[in-house]
Amino acid sequence: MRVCRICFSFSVLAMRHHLLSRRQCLVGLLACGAARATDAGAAPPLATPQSKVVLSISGQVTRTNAPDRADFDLDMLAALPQHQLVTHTPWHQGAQTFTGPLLRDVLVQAGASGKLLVAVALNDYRCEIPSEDATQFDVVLARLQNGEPMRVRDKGPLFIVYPFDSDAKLRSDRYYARAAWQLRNLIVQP
Amino acid sequence: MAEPGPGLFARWRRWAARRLVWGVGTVLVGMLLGTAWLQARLDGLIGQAATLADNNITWSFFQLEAEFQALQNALRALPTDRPAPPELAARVRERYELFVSRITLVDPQQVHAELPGTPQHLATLRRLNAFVQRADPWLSDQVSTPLRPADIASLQADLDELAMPVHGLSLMSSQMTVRRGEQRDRALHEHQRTTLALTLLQALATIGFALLLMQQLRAASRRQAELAELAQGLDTARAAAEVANESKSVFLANMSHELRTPFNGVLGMLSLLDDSRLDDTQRRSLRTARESTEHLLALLNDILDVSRLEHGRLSLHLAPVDLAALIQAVQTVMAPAAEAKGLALTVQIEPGAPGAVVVDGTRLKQVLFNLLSNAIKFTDAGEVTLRVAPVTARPGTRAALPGQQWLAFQVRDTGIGIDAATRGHLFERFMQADASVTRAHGGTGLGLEISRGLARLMGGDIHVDSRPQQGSEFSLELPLSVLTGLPGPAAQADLAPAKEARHLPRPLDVLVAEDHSINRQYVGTVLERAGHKVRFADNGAAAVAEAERALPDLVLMDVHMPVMDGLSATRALRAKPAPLGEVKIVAVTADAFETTRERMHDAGVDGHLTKPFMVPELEALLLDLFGEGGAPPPAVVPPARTTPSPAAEKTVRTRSSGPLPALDVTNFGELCGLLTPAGVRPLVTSFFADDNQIYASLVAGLERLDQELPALAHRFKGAAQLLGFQALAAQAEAIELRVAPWTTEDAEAAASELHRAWASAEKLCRRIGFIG
Repeated sequence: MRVCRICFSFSVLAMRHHLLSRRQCLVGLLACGAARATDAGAAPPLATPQSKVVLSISGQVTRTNAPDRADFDLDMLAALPQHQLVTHTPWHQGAQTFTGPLLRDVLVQAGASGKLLVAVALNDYRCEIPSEDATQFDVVLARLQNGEPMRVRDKGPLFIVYPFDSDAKLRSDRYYARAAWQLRNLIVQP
Repeated sequence: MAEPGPGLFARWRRWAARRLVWGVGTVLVGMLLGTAWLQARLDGLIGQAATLADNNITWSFFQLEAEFQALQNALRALPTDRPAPPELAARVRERYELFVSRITLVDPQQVHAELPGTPQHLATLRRLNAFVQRADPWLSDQVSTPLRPADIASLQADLDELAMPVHGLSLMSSQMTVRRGEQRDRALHEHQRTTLALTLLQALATIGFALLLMQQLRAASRRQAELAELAQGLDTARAAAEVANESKSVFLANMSHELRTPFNGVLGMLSLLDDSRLDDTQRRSLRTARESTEHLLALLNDILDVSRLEHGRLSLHLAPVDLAALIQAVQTVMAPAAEAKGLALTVQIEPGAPGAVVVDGTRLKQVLFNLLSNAIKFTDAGEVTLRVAPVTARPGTRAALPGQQWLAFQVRDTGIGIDAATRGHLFERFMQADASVTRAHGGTGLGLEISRGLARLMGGDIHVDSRPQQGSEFSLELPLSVLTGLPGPAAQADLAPAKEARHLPRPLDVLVAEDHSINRQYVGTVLERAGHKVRFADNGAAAVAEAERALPDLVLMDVHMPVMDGLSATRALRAKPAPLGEVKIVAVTADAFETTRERMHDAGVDGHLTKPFMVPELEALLLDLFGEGGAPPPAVVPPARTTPSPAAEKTVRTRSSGPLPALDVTNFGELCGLLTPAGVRPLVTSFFADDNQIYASLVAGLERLDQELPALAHRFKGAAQLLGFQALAAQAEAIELRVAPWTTEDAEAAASELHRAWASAEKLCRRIGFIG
């Protein structure tokens, strides 16, 4: 089993500084080794979508289930931990409840690592989202609005929703523009 | 009422100025608040929560038109001769759904944004929604009916009809955006203008405020200048008053000093008179005259002290003082007065009190004399006690420095006491408890003022506690440096400047008043060798008589003499008419006490020599008195208050130089050089002769524990020092200065020590051939 150099150095450092216990470090190293082993074996880590693909993540992704990209159907997204977000948006009257996985969880599923995400909608709307938005805010990849699946005419089937109500900074054109609806593709860029 | 106009006007002006300041201040604050409110509103205009900005709304309308055209294009791309294949149909349906999604975004009821909401806008929306209702059965992504060319053509026709209205919406939104921009710009401009106006007003108000402040400041500085001028005037007046007071005091001091000389003369004459044959009446008159004169002299001395204290001219002469000896001396002086009134005078030194302290002993005694004589004066029965005890510093006074201790000298009596009202100004000048008391008890009325002045000069104070008819307690409290070892060597006294350039114009006729034969021989030899003529007198009365017989140039007056002492003789001489009354007199004394010298000085001597003096000292003094040429002589015999007396210095030096030789070779050699060995031999021989009275009387005094022991030792010391018998002189000095009461054992030990020193000195002199 081969362990990557970064993981190895990190484990040694963490152990030396007692950040992690020896056992935790060993487990981490084993996990790293396993991940590299599957890389080498090229076996798809992700489930294969069983119904219509609604989201494709391409670019700098390490976990794929199609050539150079990770495809998701709605069931795969529903299987991830779900997050409920109640917020106002400029495009709706009154507060709405959005449900779906967190954007960062979806990115982890695809093994995405990059500084920039390019979101592409069904109508070819494109916008750029800094990756740190996904870690800094609880950005939800909404698949349900008020408990109902979203049709394309209702900005579905996937809608990137920021928690606008929780932070005044988010209530600006900059973040409104990043809240892409009818999302179809995410391209992970360095 | 003389000038109501300016006063009223000035008051009005002040009132107006105050009003103005308040008014301008209020305006300024109001305008600042207004500006803040405007800024807040501006901020509100810019940031609105969860709404779309105008440009985004325009974007929505254009997107609607774009999706509309995309749908048109998709429908046109379908085959016109057969139903559309499924994937083509799916793509058309997706385009349709996207188009539908765009309609909701321009619906004012669905979107949280300020949409135009014009009739044209609402009509078009209604038509679009109608189209959706009609198209849904074919184009919705929820159905999968085949798309037939006829249905498509019908939908296409509907769409073509909608093309113009949809384009109209885009145009309308863009016009709306422009209009809104203009509105916002106008509002901004308006705000800007208001802000500018407010700022201008603010600036004006600030300038006004600043001008007002400036005016106020100028007025204040003008007032200050006036005050300063006034203060300066007062200062000048005070300085003038001080100068006047100062010159009065100087006059007073000079006068009292000048007055003392004739008084000394009077006292001297009275002493002479006392020696003559008088009947009882004459003697009584003489006593009264003498008492009155002494009282006047005391009064003068008090006045001199007061004026010196007042002008800080009184300086203290700090020296190591044996506390017990000092208290003993005070008791000795005061005891007769107490005894005369039938009072018990007890002295008590508490165990915690130090043995020796650094203090001006003379001044301390002066205060204690004053307090004790007051206590005796105002007590008719009972007792007077003097108690010395260490105390803690009173609150408000400074703590004792390292090496210092606060000591209280408490004088308690059982006399008439002092009531509280009198206590308040007890220490004021010429203040006495009561005028009738003054008449009954006498006194100058300056004593307590001087005492308190001295106490404060020494860093302490006097506190009074008293109850009428029960007695009083005066407590003199001083912070005093405590001595644990022997005093260090005193500072080297400045030597007189060289006087080679000056010389004596002629041989002098010198009268030596000296009771001690060895001293007489010594001084005589010294003076004769210098070419002067010498006459002798062995007591004060003889000296006066001899001076009367033939006027000498100079009288060397020993202070301690039998029959009539040097002090009385000086006073007697000074009382004579000129030229005898103005004859030069030089006091010769062996004690280090400054009081003796001061008394002699006050009696009118022209100079002073401390025994045992050496030839250069005598020569310097003669040059000072009779010299010609060279530098002018310094002021004749300053009381030498600031430098330690040569005798004291000599004593200290002798003490600190370890074991003493039986014979000081330098001293003896100098003596031989002066008198030749042949001249010294008879001196030594008579010193050791069996009939040497002084030695015999000192030994006898030790045996008898005589009261006169210090005086006997003092005389013996002088002779021993002159010949250089240092060990003997030290022994004598130890006896002279002994403070502790003598016991028989001590006296025996001292006598045997003295005898041993005497014997070894004699043996030494015999060996070198000076005896026999």
